[in-house]
Amino acid sequence: MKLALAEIRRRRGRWGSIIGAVGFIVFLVLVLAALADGLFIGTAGALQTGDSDALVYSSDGRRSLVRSELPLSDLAEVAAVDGVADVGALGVLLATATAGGDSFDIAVMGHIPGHAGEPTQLVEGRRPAPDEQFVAVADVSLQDQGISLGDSVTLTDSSQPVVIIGLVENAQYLLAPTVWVPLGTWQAVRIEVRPETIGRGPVAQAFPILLEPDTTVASVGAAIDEALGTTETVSKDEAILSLPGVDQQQSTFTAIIVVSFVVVGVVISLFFALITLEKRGQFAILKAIGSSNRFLLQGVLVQAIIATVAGYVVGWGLSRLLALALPSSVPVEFLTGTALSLFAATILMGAVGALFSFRRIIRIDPAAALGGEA
Amino acid sequence: MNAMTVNDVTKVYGEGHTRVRALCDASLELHDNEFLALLGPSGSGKTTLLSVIGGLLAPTSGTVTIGNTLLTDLSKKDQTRFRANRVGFVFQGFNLVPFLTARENMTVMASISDAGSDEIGQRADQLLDELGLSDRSDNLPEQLSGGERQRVAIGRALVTDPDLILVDEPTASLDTELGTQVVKLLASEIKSRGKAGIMVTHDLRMVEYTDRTVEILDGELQPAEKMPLNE
Amino acid sequence: MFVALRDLWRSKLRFGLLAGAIALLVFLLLFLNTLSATLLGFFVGAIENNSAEVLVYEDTARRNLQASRLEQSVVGQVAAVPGVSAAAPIGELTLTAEVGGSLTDISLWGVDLDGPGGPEPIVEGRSPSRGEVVVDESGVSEGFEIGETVTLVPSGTELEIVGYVRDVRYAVIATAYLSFEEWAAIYEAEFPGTPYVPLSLVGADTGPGEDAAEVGNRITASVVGVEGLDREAAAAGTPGVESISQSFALIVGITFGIVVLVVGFFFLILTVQKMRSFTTLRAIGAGTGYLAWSLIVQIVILVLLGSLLATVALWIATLGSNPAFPLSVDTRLVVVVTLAVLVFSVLAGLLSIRRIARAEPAAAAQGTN
Repeated sequence: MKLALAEIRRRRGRWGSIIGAVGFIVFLVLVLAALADGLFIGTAGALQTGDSDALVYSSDGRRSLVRSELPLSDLAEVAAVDGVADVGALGVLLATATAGGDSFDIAVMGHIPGHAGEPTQLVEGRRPAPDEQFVAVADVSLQDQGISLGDSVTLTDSSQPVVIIGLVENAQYLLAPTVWVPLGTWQAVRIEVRPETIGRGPVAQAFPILLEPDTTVASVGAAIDEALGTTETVSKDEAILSLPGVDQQQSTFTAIIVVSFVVVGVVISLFFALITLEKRGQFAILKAIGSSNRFLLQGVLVQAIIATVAGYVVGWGLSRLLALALPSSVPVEFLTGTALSLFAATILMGAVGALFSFRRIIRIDPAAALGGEA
Repeated sequence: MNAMTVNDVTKVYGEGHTRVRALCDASLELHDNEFLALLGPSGSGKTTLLSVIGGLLAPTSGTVTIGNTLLTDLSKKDQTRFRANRVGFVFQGFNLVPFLTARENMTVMASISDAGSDEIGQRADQLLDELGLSDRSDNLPEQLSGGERQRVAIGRALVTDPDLILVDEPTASLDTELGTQVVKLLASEIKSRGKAGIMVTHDLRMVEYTDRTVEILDGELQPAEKMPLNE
Repeated sequence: MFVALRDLWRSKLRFGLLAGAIALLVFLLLFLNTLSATLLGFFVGAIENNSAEVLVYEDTARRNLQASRLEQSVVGQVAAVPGVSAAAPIGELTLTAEVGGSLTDISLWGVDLDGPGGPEPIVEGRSPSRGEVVVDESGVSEGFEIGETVTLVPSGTELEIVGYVRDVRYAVIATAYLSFEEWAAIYEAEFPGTPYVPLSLVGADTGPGEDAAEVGNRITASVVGVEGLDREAAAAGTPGVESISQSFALIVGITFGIVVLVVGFFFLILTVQKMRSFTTLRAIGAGTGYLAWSLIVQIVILVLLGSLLATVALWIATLGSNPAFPLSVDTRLVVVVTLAVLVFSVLAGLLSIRRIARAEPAAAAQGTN
């Protein structure tokens, strides 16, 4: 072990470069993962953030928030089904907003404050009171448009403006700046933006439900669908996958991340295999003076582990720096789970690589250390 | 009991046309506290014989006994262990570890052999002193002269207090004065510590510091054994 | 050259590992590019590859197709703008449809079949007549095949699929094109009592020698309440796409940088290992130029080999692609990536050469250790 450490200490340039290279590779994958996770949260945050287990859609809506329509009168019936702890309502509308003279795209989420589906990560301000209308809780992405707590936002040309009374995190719909308004406000705005919907009556597009403990989405969902006859209840995860583009996006990014993990892992292995192979001469000498294979193996492993751990830390640090430098329009999210699995993978692959070359090294003949003639 | 015995050792490389006989029925006895010179020209097989004696090479036939251990009978792993603890090797190319200081090149034997680090450390310091390297002990090989590196290599060979010292062409890359110094040093270390050693060389001038000379030519040990000029 | 090739041949494992690492990294780069192009195409293919050169949006819609609503009269106004050779209405409507026994979403585009915005080129089948549509061929995976009938829900309107177009998908869902008149009728059936049938866009073609972006600007200036854009700008401006494109651009950019760094670094390690042979060669009279050239030859061979392997790997990956997610090997992309990696790797390798140049040839004569 001491020998292995001495080599690192004395060959700082070389090991520094090795650690740097590992660091860059790790940085790559961390950033990829963070971008993927960021896009996911930005796209599906609106559904993810709600404290709900499942969503009820109209069966002809086919899991599309936009195509689904449920009369509000059905709420009571859903609430009455066994296993339903709480039920809320959701509606979404893509519109143009104006604030302080600027126009921008906006997603308007209608919901029932205090019930399942409302955005859970409140960071500032407050939520709407039970009968309050024309107030909104805004996702922090609105701050990119220069909007803050207390500002007024006009949704479409002529409707009454909504006042921002609270800010939430991770509650965006399809990467658009998103505001959450009480359902009544949503209905009013919807009629203005999509006049063709005027004849529909008080509706929502989906009912998020929170289940009682020890119940399953499958069983309660089936019960709901049977009771109402016009609905399809799906788990929150399935609902998220049914959001436009999410499935494709997730598949694409999963493919990217898997391939990146594999490529990076193998490259790290090849790396350490190469480095270990290069030390043939040194190993011959050590064997000649009596080092056992086990001694050499330990050394090589220790070095691989140290280099990969240090490299990982470097890569992690770099990725955080990059996140700070990115414009806020690029969604980025560093999830601990991803970071940890990459950490484990990096170390494992480094060790594997070092060991791979070792088979060759075991075969090194210590007699090769003797110079001169045979 | 001899310090070391070589019994009918033959070493053959290759097959058919490419068959090369590096050693042929070589037999040799090394007595206790004896410093033997193995003399021969290039290609005579002297380094091969040394490698076989040290357990670096397995002979095609024949045996090697060191002390009361039948070296050729041991497994590769045990041979390696034996080498670490009981044999000291000084290579022709010194073969120091480039990123270890002079002292560390010796104390590394603590990790390799079974000896304790305190023991090795003490002996290393003592050897550094005896070899005149005390103020160079923290230098890396690249900062040492050829003679200094050679002395570090000798120190490394002695630090585990082995029973047998094997030295391969110690004067090859040194001038006459330095070379003589080194061989004298080797002789005194070996004799004063009661060890036995074999020095492979082609330099006739060095044999006066040895107890006995054995010649080797084309893989065969020559029958005539010259008596030493001194001792 | 001789030394370089002999060296490669003698150390097959070492250089094989290196070529393998390069292949993997280049593959990653190619794969990312291909995937992102496909994904973005799914979102805005219909806009990016629209047959109209200029797309005119309602200005308050801010480049959001689904929020854009124009009156029919705008078509004539756009046509009158200098530089516009033809203008036609384009309407988009997302509906539920039943095809092959299952329900799915469909983006229905009503267009002037022979004018700007019309579905072309038709890669298989023919242009639709009354009661017929052509679909983007990726829809095959959802059951949209030539000969199948699409039944719109809930109106019950039936449309037969008679042809395929390519890379014109919208919002990731199956996309179909039919005549504007029919589309308008479907719209009215879907939204009875609607005050008027709004167009989503006006598509315009430009006259010879005219730049689409400029004509777009002219349209914006002369027609009230609209914004004219060329296809690229329209696609880039579609809400949500900006984030995704930026993210992908970042991903590809970073990957490229890393690939080049790592390849350069690998070569640096190898050069350091071979310092001894290099100094020996220099001692026997080899000039720095000769050694530099040898190294470059090795880099070129390894990068080309790695790129070849990577392209083969990419090709294998595309075999697993399906119409739902088509992947194809873009030759231009492979060439550009290979050249870029080659250039930067050689540059990185030249850094190693500086080390060789600085090495003292006399050190070789010292022989041992």
